Amino acid sequence: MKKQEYSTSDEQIIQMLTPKVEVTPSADLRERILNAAQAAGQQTSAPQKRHTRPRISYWLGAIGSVAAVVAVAITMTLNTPAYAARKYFSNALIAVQDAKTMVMKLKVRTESDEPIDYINPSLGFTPATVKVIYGEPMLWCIEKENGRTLLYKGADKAGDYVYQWIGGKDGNMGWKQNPEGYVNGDLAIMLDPRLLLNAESRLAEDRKGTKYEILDNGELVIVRASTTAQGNYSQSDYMMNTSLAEANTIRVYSFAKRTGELVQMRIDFVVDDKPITVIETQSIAYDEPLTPNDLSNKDLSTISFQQLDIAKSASSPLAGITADEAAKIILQAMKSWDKEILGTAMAYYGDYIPKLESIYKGLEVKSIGKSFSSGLYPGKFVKCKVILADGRKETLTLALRNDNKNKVWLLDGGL
Amino acid sequence: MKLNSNNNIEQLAEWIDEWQEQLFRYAFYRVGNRSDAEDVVQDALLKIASTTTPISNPKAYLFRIVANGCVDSLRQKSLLQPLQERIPATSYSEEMEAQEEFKRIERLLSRLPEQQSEVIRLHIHAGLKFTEIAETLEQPVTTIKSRFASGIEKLKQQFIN
Repeated sequence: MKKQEYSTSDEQIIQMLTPKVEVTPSADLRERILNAAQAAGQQTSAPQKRHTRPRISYWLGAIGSVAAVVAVAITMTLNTPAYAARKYFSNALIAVQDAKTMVMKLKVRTESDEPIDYINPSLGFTPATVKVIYGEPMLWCIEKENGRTLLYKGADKAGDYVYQWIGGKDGNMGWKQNPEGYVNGDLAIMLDPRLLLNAESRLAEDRKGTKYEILDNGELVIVRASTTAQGNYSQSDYMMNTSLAEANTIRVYSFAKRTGELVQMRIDFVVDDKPITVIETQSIAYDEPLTPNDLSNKDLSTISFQQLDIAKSASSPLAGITADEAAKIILQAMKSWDKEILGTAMAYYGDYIPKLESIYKGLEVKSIGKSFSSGLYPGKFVKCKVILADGRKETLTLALRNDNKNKVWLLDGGL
Repeated sequence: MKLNSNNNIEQLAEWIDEWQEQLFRYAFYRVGNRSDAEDVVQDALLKIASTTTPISNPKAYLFRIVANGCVDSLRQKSLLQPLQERIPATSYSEEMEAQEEFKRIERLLSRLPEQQSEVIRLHIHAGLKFTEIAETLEQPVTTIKSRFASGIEKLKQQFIN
């Protein structure tokens, strides 16, 4: 500090405020920072740390969560555009109400192998395709190009499962799950955009929640709807901008003026007052010829499917306790890598578990925070500081949820 | 800036060499312990190294991030429950002395409004000039000088006059 001229009394106070003990950073801090920087650079193509697990039933964010976005909202300021918007949504609904199939191509800001609902405005676009055959049961497939795929093609001799795998056409590792109750809420709407149009129409009718702008360019009518994030962020804004429902969004629908059909849809996150497109449809086609075999050309016999059973036993040590207690148990188990506890706690991580073991086995827990809620996430978050076996420090935000039959806490993300 | 570029790692190394000690001294006397102070400094340096937008004044930017990081750390600290059995007892007497010194200074600064104590910390602990503090806090330099003078005057009234 440059020496300045002060009065004697000022100088006395400044001396009182000047530390008499000199502190210097640890000798290895420089190296730790540079190692962390290099590691961050090397991880640019690796899977990103997830906020939450593959939340299949919430789904793909894509359009699914938009339904949630439109279901609850804030103040609408322009009544007339809302009425007009409702008319366009209703017309588009009528135009496709008897559709037998739907094929939608879109691009999403995500990683191809990351969970299907993972959206990150800082990532590049990954193409995705949704194929649906409407009927009882509804058959469907959602595929990220060369990445994660979800498929339900009905019951057959192998059983009745929703299949999920990563790695695209070369993938050989996946999970299967009972389809009962699987398609509901947001996923249902993702698979049937008519539900979304219906929800938008009802929202416009309610005349509250969303601000509308309408543009007619002769061939297309463009409806722009702006809605703020759902969820409670009073404890933490951790989940803000991690999904469509938990972001301030602008949805832009383009309708063909002649037929009334929805021809394009775009969803922007509003981050720091700037819109960033996170999802954009490339095409939406109804009643294209589509059979169950057309949903995916992947030979499922080449994939080793692990059955996901998240209804864990009520006798698990992770049942009937608080999220804070569960976090402590899980972190302690990670030190010795207790496979019995972690086999339950990490059920959602599937084939990531060996990778996680190589990173986190032997960790030391430095501190654990109190659990908190954020956004729409049905579980709790717990911040903790750990020292990995190689000496690196990490601050983790564990996502834990126990919304299963036996109230067993499961690790849903944060690693 | 992409962190995997050799040039950028070199730039980061230069920033560490130039400002690490100053940042750490400020952070230590803000949060009161080595571990949290180093975490805050590390996070700030990694953040500036990974930012994609040009930064006209990296020093001010770094101190701003560290100042905010310290506030977050202190806020979290009130939520965090240390696992006593997992924290090794410190064996460094100078560390304990420094923590005592931190407490002594905090007791003095706690008598001032936060805006004044922050300017004092940045000037006395971090060794920033008033113009640098003005850039860090994005306030006019006259405001910064006024806050510093007011803070010193208040303490003077209490301890000297």
